Amino acid sequence: MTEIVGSPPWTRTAGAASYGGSTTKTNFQSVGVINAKTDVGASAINRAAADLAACVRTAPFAVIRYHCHDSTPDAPELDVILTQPGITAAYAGDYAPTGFPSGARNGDGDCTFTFDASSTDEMGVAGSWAPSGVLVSGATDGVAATYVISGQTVRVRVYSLSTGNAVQNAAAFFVVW
Amino acid sequence: MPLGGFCPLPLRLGEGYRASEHNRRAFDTVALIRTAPLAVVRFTVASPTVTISWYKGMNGTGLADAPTATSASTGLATFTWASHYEDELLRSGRWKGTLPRASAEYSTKQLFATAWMDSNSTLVCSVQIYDISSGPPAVSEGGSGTLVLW
Repeated sequence: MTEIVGSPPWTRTAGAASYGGSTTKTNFQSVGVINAKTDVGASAINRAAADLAACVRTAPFAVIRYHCHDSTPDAPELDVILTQPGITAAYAGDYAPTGFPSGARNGDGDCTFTFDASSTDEMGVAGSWAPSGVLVSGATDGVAATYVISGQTVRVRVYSLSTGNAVQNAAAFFVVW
Repeated sequence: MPLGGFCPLPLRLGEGYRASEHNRRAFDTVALIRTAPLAVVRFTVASPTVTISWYKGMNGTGLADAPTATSASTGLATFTWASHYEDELLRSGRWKGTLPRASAEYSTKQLFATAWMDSNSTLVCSVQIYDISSGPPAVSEGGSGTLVLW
């Protein structure tokens, strides 16, 4: 049986204690590191634990770049997919691999991405997640993008900065927490 | 002398937790620290009020750890963090923001956001919401968005 404490990082429930940190952790009998080449002391473990917990709190769940298919309407193509549960090669939004977000076309420059409500880490521990914050940007000159979070979905629309009109066949990326 | 993770601290690297594994964990953690955001803020600005609805920061999680938020003009949200925060192990460190980025949330209008650091402080950053519904960006009456600070 795999021994592991706590939940996967995307649940954002980990604290320094999850990684062995403690305000009361000390070296055995207060004897410090004898050989820095072979030993790891309580202070180093505490520092690593606190720093890792801080990173886990603010790390994005996913970074995704995609492009729309509007000339011949079809689901968007996800080109770069980096998520905490895993990384995969490009795929069409309506053929998402298991565990990765699907993508659907709503209109010109307008797509909705749907994420699983629960994912499993490499140790086999499941944890729930829902979108809470998004950074989004058009991937070409002269465009702007907005987002909408609704349940497990992130909707992204890409507009022309000069006209305010939807951009056909837009490429964009978003980062979601 | 016992080896690995079963010996009392200081941990003697060996069976169970090898030096190579410890080094990989250490270097990967440092790499994460270099690029991890300092804070992520989801907010709504309806001048003169700014409401933070969700906050995750290296200083903590939840609204109790969020920066103060004010609005001095239409569609403008300004966030101010404290100069120092303690980590979970009660060590204090200076807060130093360097790069803010923001995106606006679509409601009934196409909105667009810009973000910048105060030129005199690494503790203060602002977000301006623009309306691009009908062409070139115009200052928006308000809106919601996400601010990420590195």
